[in-house]
Amino acid sequence: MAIPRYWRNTQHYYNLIGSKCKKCGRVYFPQRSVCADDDSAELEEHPLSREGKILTFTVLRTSLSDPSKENTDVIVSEMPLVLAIIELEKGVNVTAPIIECEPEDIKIGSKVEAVFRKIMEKGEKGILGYSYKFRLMR
Amino acid sequence: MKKVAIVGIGMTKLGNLWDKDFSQLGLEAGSKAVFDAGLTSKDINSLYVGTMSSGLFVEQEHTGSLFSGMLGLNNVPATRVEGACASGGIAIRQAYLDILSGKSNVSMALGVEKMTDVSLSQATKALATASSQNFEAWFGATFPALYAMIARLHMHKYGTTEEQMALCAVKNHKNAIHNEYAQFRKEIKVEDVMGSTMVSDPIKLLDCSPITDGAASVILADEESAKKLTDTPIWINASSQGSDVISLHERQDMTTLSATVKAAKDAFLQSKLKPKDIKCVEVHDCFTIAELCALEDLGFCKKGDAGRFIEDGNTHLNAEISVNASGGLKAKGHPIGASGIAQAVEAVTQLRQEAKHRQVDDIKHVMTHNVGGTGGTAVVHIFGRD
Repeated sequence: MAIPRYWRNTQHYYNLIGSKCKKCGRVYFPQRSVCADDDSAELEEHPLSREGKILTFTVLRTSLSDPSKENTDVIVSEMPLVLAIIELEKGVNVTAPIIECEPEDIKIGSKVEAVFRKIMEKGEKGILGYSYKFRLMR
Repeated sequence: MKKVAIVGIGMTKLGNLWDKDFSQLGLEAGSKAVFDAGLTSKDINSLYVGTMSSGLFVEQEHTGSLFSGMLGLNNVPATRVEGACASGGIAIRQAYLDILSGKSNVSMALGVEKMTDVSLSQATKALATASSQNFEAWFGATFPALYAMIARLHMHKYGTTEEQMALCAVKNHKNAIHNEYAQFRKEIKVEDVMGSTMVSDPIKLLDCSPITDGAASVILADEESAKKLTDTPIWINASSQGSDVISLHERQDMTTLSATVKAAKDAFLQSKLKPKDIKCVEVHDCFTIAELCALEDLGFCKKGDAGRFIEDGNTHLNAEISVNASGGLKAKGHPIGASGIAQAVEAVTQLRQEAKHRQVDDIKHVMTHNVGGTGGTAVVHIFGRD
């Protein structure tokens, strides 16, 4: 991922900040400038809850990353990768890895919290990418 | 309302076609369709090319020009359309609309994908571009992972089992034995699916459609031209398309493809048909769970009932409804941009009564269902003998 492209998303990846329509109250993540429901352009920043629950999940056992290839984005994750769709607020869901867990401990409905982790390395000398991931709440 | 028919079909064998180039595949399918229609390339008024990711797979864009030139078309408008795995279905629909608009009498839809010139990880990455790059693929989500999350939720909500999903793969492999174009013509058992490599729980290798090279083409004509060309025009009774948010996690119900629901509703309205009138359907089974969702979303069984519907044998050849008589994407193969058109080729073959050992008896209509991504795009067509 190009550096400016990554930078444009840092508000999302670092802080889980969405936007809320002042007119109808609908919350969006990622942020957007016009409400899809009522076409209003009056939206304000809305920090999302950093806690949520798992709606569905999978344990991915084949990776996209190919570390042998120079200059490709390498997703930093240990295999198997637990991926989940997490509900942060009513109607606001995200897709993200669940870390620091045994795959068999994950259930639909499990409570999770957001943590800040490295997710990408671009080659040996390239940028590092950080983002939200989640872990089970203790 | 003007009528539009399919008057010519052509496709290549699907599979690992090491000896065939992207451009040769398109030429082979397109010229077969032209010959089948009894036309020459100079009779085609417009071309729509469906290819999902020729840029990433073979570093070739501008495929409208490429195939117009390969096929020797007469400087006609040649347009590439893209809607991920639904690119082929969209190409047919655009050709159909071109004829309805009166700008064309005879149009070609051509779908081509050449997927095996890149490594498996490059192919997986190219396919993942059909999901949200910033909010799904960035986190490591691949298509098997996204469909696995649909499957997990379907199992949780409706009690669907992995064996019920496996039955789709078993049935589709059985049907493909009789399809000379199919990538896999080999019977498999439920135990083979259950014992195959876990890709992304609960999706196993034999729940997945393969990486496939291939091309397919159909020639569409207005009523007057169609009647001159053939005694067996296959009419397009309905052509509909729906869309939805690109990310799976943004959907209110992640086990329902709203784009399919909308396209199906429109198709039944246009054709004045009901689900019970359809005895043969080609659904988009990129993963076995997708076949379950399709049966529900198209209206052939109630939401949540597809697992039991399949287990009861309703979807076998010449049972209640013949689902994927061709072998489906699972066994026939899934050359992304060509898949929607290969479905139409099967529909026409069935309606012409030329499907031999996989022929569905006494059919008047065939439905095809082509999905892009996890359901961001869906295209539904109904074809008929009148």
